[in-house]
Amino acid sequence: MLVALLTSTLLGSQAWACTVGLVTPAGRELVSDNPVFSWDTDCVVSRIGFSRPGASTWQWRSWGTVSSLTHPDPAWDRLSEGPWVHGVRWKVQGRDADGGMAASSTHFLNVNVPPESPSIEVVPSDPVAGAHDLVCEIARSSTDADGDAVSYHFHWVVDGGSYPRSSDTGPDTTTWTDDTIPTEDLSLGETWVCFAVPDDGTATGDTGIATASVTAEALPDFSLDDENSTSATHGHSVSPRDYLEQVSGWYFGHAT
Amino acid sequence: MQQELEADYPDLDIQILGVNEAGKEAGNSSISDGRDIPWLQDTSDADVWNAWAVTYRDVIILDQDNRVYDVFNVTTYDLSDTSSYEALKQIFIDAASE
Repeated sequence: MLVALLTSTLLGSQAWACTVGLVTPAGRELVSDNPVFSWDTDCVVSRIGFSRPGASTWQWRSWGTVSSLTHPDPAWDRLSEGPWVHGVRWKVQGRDADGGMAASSTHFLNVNVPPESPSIEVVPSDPVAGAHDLVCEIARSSTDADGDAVSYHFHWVVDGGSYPRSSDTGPDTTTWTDDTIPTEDLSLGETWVCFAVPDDGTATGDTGIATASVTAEALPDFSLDDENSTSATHGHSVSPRDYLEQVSGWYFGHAT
Repeated sequence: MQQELEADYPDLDIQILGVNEAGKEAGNSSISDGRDIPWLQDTSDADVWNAWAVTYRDVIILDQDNRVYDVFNVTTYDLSDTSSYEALKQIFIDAASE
């Protein structure tokens, strides 16, 4: 909980010690707090709070104490009410015991809750170098208390070092930018770690992390022309990669 | 063998191909006569024979992830011998059944 306090002793026929506070609920982040209270003649204690913490939009309520009378007075004291997301312009007004305007102030408060960490996984979990691309997938999306759309930034570490290396061709994109490592960049025995940072456009949240190890290696791929005029692939280049997901047998012989 | 596998095991996805060594192109048309499996021509640039470290008349069987499942040399195990022929056929069936 964040409480910003401003204490002021006001002038007038009487002098009161006044406290003005901003209250945010537990777990909420007050991004910008720039209240400038200007009191004319009377003492106003005003507090701003979240009436629906955890909701995707917020309603605001202000209340105050003037000359020992506690508001809200629903007729006028519910001065500024949502729904808003993030940018909230709110107004604090107070009146004295006779109902005359004592103070008025408008402030801008920018509140944002960062998105929660996503649950991610690297697929396949047992990649074969030369056969499988590594794709970092969002298994459970980040939730955002503000209802903001969440995107993800991906980066990778291989065997504790940064990626890409000088010889690498990736990263590539499957769903999110840089979420994929092309199989050409994989080598037997490597351990890959994917980091997915959720971003609600205002702030980033905790990073999702997943790991996969390369435990097998395909034979090197190639591409050769099919010379058999009665073959279905005659005139085309043929690669072992064309036969992934099936069993293939490669006979190495001589035509002569 | 390709036709037998397709006829007897239609649910198994198996493809047999041939790779001719670079420099041995002269007989390409004759060796593929009457056959419809792909017959690929290796080149000095690709140098697949060396990259895969093959022995002449090897049949390299790859699994669904292109990992080596088995290597069967048809000089050592002549396919005119029924038991050798059936042995190679069974390797394909076992690989595709896993």
